[in-house]
This record gives sequence, C-alpha cells and structure tokens, in this order.
Amino acid sequence: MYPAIAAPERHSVDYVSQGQPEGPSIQQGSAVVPGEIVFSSVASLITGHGTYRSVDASSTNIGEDLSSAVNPDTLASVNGDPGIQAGNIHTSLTGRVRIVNKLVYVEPPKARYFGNVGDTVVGRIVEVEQRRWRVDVNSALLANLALANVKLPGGELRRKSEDDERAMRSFMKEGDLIVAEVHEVYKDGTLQLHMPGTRTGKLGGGCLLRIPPSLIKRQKIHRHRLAIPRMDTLDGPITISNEVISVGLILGCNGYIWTGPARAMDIGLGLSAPVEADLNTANESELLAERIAVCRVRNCILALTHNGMPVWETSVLTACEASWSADQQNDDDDDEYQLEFETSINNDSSGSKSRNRIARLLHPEVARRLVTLVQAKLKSDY
Amino acid sequence: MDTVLLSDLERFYLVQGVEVGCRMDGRGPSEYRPLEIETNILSHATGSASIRIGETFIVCCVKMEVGKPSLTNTSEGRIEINVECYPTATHRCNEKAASELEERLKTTLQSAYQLKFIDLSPLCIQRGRQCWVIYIDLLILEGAGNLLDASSLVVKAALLNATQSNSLLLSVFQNNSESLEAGVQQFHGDMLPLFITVHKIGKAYLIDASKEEEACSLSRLSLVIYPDGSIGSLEQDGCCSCQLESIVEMSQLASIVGKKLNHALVKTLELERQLRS
Repeated sequence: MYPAIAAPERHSVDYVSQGQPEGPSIQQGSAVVPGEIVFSSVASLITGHGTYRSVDASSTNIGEDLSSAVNPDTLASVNGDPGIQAGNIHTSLTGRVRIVNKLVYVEPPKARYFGNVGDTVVGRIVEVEQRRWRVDVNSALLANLALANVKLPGGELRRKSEDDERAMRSFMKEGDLIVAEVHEVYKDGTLQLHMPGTRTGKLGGGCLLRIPPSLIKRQKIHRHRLAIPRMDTLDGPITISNEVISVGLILGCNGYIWTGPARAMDIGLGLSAPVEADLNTANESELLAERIAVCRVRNCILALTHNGMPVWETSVLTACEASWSADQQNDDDDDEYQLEFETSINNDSSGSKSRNRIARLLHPEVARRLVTLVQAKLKSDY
Repeated sequence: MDTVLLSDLERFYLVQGVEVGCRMDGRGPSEYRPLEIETNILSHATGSASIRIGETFIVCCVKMEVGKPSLTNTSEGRIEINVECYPTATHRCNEKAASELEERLKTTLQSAYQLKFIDLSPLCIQRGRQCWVIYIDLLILEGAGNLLDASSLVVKAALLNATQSNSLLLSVFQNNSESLEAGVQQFHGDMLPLFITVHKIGKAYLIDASKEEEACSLSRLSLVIYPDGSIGSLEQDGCCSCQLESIVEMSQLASIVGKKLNHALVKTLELERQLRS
C-alpha cells in the first residue's frame, strides 16, 4: 500500500562490480525479498540493516584443515583462515537495496522508527515516572525523556530538585504532545530524548497524523510555516482574496506529523500553559477560516500518504495549491461535479447539493488525481 | 470505553472546531466519511457484504440453516447475530477490549431485529419442531470510530444481498401489502433498521464521529431509524446526561440523516445489481 519510491542514483566508487552473481544484477534501489542472495562471498562489502552473511563451512574446508594439520610446512600456501570462509550476502527484509561505498543495507517501506541521533521527533507522553517521562514515538520501545533534559518554564537554568520531581505532571502529563530530539540510542533500542534550544517543547492544539517513517524525507529543517490561501466557508461560493493563513507543520522523522495553527506551534515552546485569552476576541469567521486551512493541509498530507508520495515541505505546499486550484476549477463545472458524488449524504436544508471542498479530499479518486497533479508539477520544477 | 489518548489542548481544539462548524478533516456536522460498500464477496454464504467508512472495515456474512424454533415463538424463525472483533481493531490491542466491544455490539444489534416489522413466520417449516435460522456473523477488522452505524449498514446490505438469492427472504423483509390493513398507508420496500449515532460535543451534534471525536464526546444517542424516517428504539451512552431539548434535536437530525442514508444504500445496491447482470 505504501510503495517506497526509489531514491535517485548516487555516484560513488564501484565496489560492487567485483562480486556480481549470475543472473540479473543487483543495483542501487533494486527491490529484494528475504532470503535473496544479493552479493556472493568474494565481495568485500559490509552488511548492514536487513542484510547478513551466511556461514559457509563445507567439507572441502575440513579436508583442507586436516591437510594443514598433517603437513605443517605447507601452512603458508593456504589463503586466509582455513576453517571458516565468508558466505554470500543475503537479505532479511523486504524493501530496496541501498549501497553506500562498502555498506549494503535494505530500506523497508513500512517499518517502525529505529532512531538516529539528532532526529526531530513528535511524540505523545504515555507515562510519568519518578524522574522521567515515557514517550510514544512509534518505535519498538517507549522513549525516555529525563527531567534533567527538559527546560523549565520560563527558561530558568538550574539543577532539578525534588520539588521539580513532584511538579512533573504540571509540566507535562499523559496525553501531551511534544516535539523533541533524539539524544542517544541505547543498545536495546530505547531512545533517550532531550529538548534543546527553542525549537522543541510542548505542542498546542492541532492534528496529529501517523504515517510510515519511510515516507518522510529527511531534511535539515522539520518545522515549517506554510502560507495557505484563505477560504471562508466549506461549501459556499469562493471569494477570491489575496489573504493567506499561516499554518504550522512539524514533520517528525518517526512518522508523526503535527499540523495546526502557527500560533499553537509557537505558544507551546516555553512549556507553559498556552494562553487562550486572546482566542475570545477572535470572531467565528476568523476561527473557521484558520481551521479550514489546517484541514486542507491535513487532508493533503493524507492524500499524499495514501498514494505513496513522500512528504516534505514542497510536496505539501504543491498539494495545497493544487487542491485550491481544483476548488476554483470545480466551481465552474457544476454538472461534472455533481455526477461524481451522486450518492453523497448531506443534511442540506436547501434543495441543492452542498459541496464540501475539504472533505472531498478524503475520497480515493480525488486524492489520486491530486497526487498526479503534484507529481507532474514537481517533475516540471526539477 | 476504549478511547484514544488525547491532550487537553487537542480536545479544546477539536471541540472548538466542531462548534464553529468545521471538523478535524473538514467535514460538516452531518457528513459521512467516504463510504464503500461491496456485496457478494463470499461465495459460500447466502448473503455477504463488506463496508469501509474512512478506515473502519467490517465484513458481514449471512447464512441460513434449519434449526429449532425458540420456546416463546414456536411458529416463527430466528435471527442470531454474532460479532467477532479483532484485537487490533481496538485502541489498546488486547482481547479484553475486543470482548467488551463484541458484547455491546451484539446486544445492541440483536435488540434492533426483535421488532414487529420483521415478519419471521414464513421461516417456519413445522410448528414447534423445525424452522429456518438466519445467522448473521460480523467481523470487525479495523476500527476507526462509528462501529455501530457501520455494523448496521453492513448487516442491512448483507440481508438485502441474501434477499436477491433467496426468494424465501423476500416475504420476511419486504413489506407485503396483503399483511397490512387496507386503511394503513403502504410503504413499499424493506423495513430493515439502521443505527444512527449522534454525538454531542460541546454545543454541537455530530454524525459519524471518528476515533478522536468519540474520545471528546460526553454523550451520544444511538437511534434505530427505519427507511420511512420513523424512529425505533433509543440508546443513550456516555458519561454525561442530556436535556430533553437535546434529545429531541438529536432525534430529528438522526431521522433526516437516516432516511437519506437508507435511500442512498438502496439505490447503490440497485445500481450494483444492474451492473452485475
């Protein structure tokens, strides 16, 4: 369901030509299944994640070993270790082969997050223990966030004491969303998180999406502020205005994507309770327009994910622009539009069919058409 | 109840959005997620159907066998509903939550099919000894909210699919004009019920709540809606109570949505039957 798109070919030293087996050759980005031999035993390559070497102990080696023991003077003629020889390189995962110089590993299309030091991750706190929080970051085990690695409210720099241990639930409690960085990866796979600088902290109100981690493109910056064109109603006529609404987007490397108002992304930085007093002054049309923009980003990311497209800032922006252009275009073609959603169930007081522009992105055919437009636009840009 | 873990800020954001009129995925208050219904998916069953609402996935199978009638109604057949839920369909991914969900769905669906609009007397073979038993088996494969509405939809689709291949079921589920009195207005078609669940979130009423919206809902009302828009039994659930005005408004909303959903379902199945033949 989520096919991983092959990465572009990398130009490197050709270490792999010396160990090619018979038949179709294994190249960068080839699809493999578990048990497949990708390189023979003479290849001087290093196995990585998803590959292993089989141990080859044949009877010929035993014979050679006995011959070496009987005749000590011919020991110099034996090449290497006479007992065990390196076997073929097999794969143990379904995915695509990646070759980096002498390292061979497999990238599976759908896997849990295994952790890299320095990655930005979005997680949800599931437990509060004595000196740490347990965070769900879509990995095999729960991640740890120690109290010593968390900034205090207000930015105060001092050692943590017992009073801070007792006040841990007032900082963050079960269910809270955080954005953090991976500090360390332990031997058993547990991740140790920390919150350095001003780019990490607690997140405010928004949407959390769960997609496979392989669909998120690794980049330097994972926090974005998107400018989405403004739309005032879900199904009314489109009033063309030049206003844009700022939508915050955090692409966690673990597959968790947070999107919400840009105000909620900034409020949650200092670990203090977000001030909702200014929301009382905002009127309903402002809230509705802001929410429509966030929903458009959310549905565009889901459309990209369900069609196997990687998610990064440019693709999300292109998808939002394509959906906004499709909204303008679909208002002119009323007959074609109503024919597509003949069986839609809407509680409409008037006789005409209402057309929800944001929710129609959830339909599989609309999502597929949107991703086709995005791919065509990105290909023409590059 | 088995709900997802949400932070307070996410709940506030969701409740505020529902009151403004725009949900988390941009739907209106009474809009369904994309619905996919497929019938005749199992070749060995009398009737079968599968449904997808968003990411909720339920498969239903209808089988008819000869069995013994119940002791209270010796001249009628029986309808037995069984629900099986995969543990991965629940949020906690364990057997206990799946068993609780199975029991609740089984009793709720069974109560909707014990009414007078379904005439089970043609299923009688020999009074007190033999009758036809309709076994309805539900398999919940993925749960993403709104399991009761999806279950009732797929049961109705499977029963309508069974009616096409079994002429005996026509007299059970179709409304014959001979059985009614002359003065009563006759409704042509089936009288199979549907469940419509209305959630009260903040000051708004929602249809087809997702998992996050179910976690934020304080009270919900499940109504049995018949194809002519009439309301059968009501079931109120949740940790809060409802005022009478809220119940009246929720019932009116469910009646309107249920009538349209019934009409859309019957029309879709009719189109599918035309495409097959």
